Formats: sequence, structure tokens, C-alpha cells
Amino acid sequence: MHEPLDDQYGELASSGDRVASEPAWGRVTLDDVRAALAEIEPPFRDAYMLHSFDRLPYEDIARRLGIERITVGTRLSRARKKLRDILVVRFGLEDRP
Amino acid sequence: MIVCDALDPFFDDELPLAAANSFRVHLADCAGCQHQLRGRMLESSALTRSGRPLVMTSAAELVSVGWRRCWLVAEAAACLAAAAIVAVWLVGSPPAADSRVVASIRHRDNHMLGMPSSGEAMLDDTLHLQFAPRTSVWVYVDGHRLVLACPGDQRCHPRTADLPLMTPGTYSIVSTIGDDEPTALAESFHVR
Repeated sequence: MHEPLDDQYGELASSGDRVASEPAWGRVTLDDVRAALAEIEPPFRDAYMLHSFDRLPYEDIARRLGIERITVGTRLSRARKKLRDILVVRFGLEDRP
Repeated sequence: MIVCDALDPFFDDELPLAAANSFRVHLADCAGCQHQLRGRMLESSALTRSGRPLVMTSAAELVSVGWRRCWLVAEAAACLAAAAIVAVWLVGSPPAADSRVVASIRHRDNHMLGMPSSGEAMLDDTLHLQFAPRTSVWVYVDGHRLVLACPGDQRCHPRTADLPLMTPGTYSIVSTIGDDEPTALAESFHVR
């Protein structure tokens, strides 16, 4: 599920990073997610919006964006990591370990 | 070796069946993946939450029924980014006040049964759900196929949902609210 290493958008964050950076989702609204999305790069934002808001499967997103299906998965993962990072700064971390 | 990188496509219901089955087994024993899964489910809930931030409903407001606290491992389907439950395992039995969803079965003749003690319902019966405001609820068949996701589905209302049981199989119900851990109804039921 990884894009090529020379992908211009950087490396996928490790799973450990994600575990450590879950935002306090209970305080996050759809508007907050949209605001955070506006701050991330268009390739990630587009993939995320097509998937999460338009509810398109990976295959359709790939066709729409003209990218490989596997790249869709990677961009979605990176988009989520970026969103989490923004939302953690804005709303703090969850209390739970 | 399976790593948690597969969690996203798993949750998005984008893994091939064999890979999904393998990941499901991995998920049952991987605390890291379970944590991430919970994050994905809460993220999905946030995407359905517009306007003001969600305020945790007090336990007293929540509808009470015989729930158990569970950790749920799910693979997501299309809408609400949810998909299919992978495994559910119980880790305790908190009091009923922790409950948030009441499930009952309505027969074709509109006779309401509650949850059948036999654990079985019939085709063409209707699953009726009542839940606290701002609760997200998912219903899965046979641990992998999402058949209802509230909110978002047209069969969902602010505090109730009605799902006609058109497919035989084992039905499981999962919900989450706020930062709470996803919780699965301990008593899944069969439709025949």
C-alpha cells in the first residue's frame, strides 16, 4: 500500500506515529475536518474528499484522479495522518492511552 | 508479515477477501491495530457530526439494555467509511447504564418482540434500533458486510432506525459515541 519511494509527497508515517497522534475525536466536527482538509496538499485532500464525502471506492477515485489504485490507498493514509496532525494541534490528544 | 498499514484498506473494505481474512486474524491479537481501528471509527463518526461539537450524553440519558463493553475489530465498507466487523471480543461486563442502543425485532405483522431469546429472527422481520442522540451505529451481517450505517442511511432517524431483514446470516450491531470506545452488542442474532 505504498507509493514509490520517490513519491513527491513524502513518506508514509509509521503506524506508531498514528497511534500516538489520535486527536480527541469527540470534540471534532465535520466543519473542523473540512477546515483541516483545506490545509493539506490537494492530492491528499482530493483523494480524502472523494472517499470520505463522495464515498467513492478506491477504483473510482483512481479513475477520477488518473492514478493507480494502490496510490489511492497511500494518499488516503497520508491524508489521514496529516489531518490527525492538524486536529491534534487544534484539539489535543485523546485522554486514553 | 501483516502490519497495521493494512488497517485503512481493511476498514475501507478495499482488501481482497483472503487478505481481509488474514488481517482479521492479525487484528484480534494486535493492540496497535485495534487502537488504530478505534481511531478510524471515531474519525468516521466525526465526519457525520456537523455544527457544534458532540457533547457526551450522560449515562442516565442513554437507553439501557443488556450490553457488554466490547472491543470491536471491524473492516469498513463503503459508506461512512465503515465496513465489516472482523472480530468482537468481550473484555468485561459494565452495568447497563453504559448502554446506548436498544435493539428489537418487529415481525411482519408489526408485533414487536424485543430481542429474541432464541437469538434468531426470521426473514422479512425488521430490526428496530433506538439509540442516544449523536450515536453512530453500524449493523453487519456475517462479520463482514455492512448493511446499515447511521447516520447517513435513509433508514436512519435521529434516534431510531429500521432495517428490514432481507438476508439470512448473523447480524452484529456496533456503536460509538464521542470518544467512547466502539461497543458491540453482545447478543448478535441470526436471521433464517
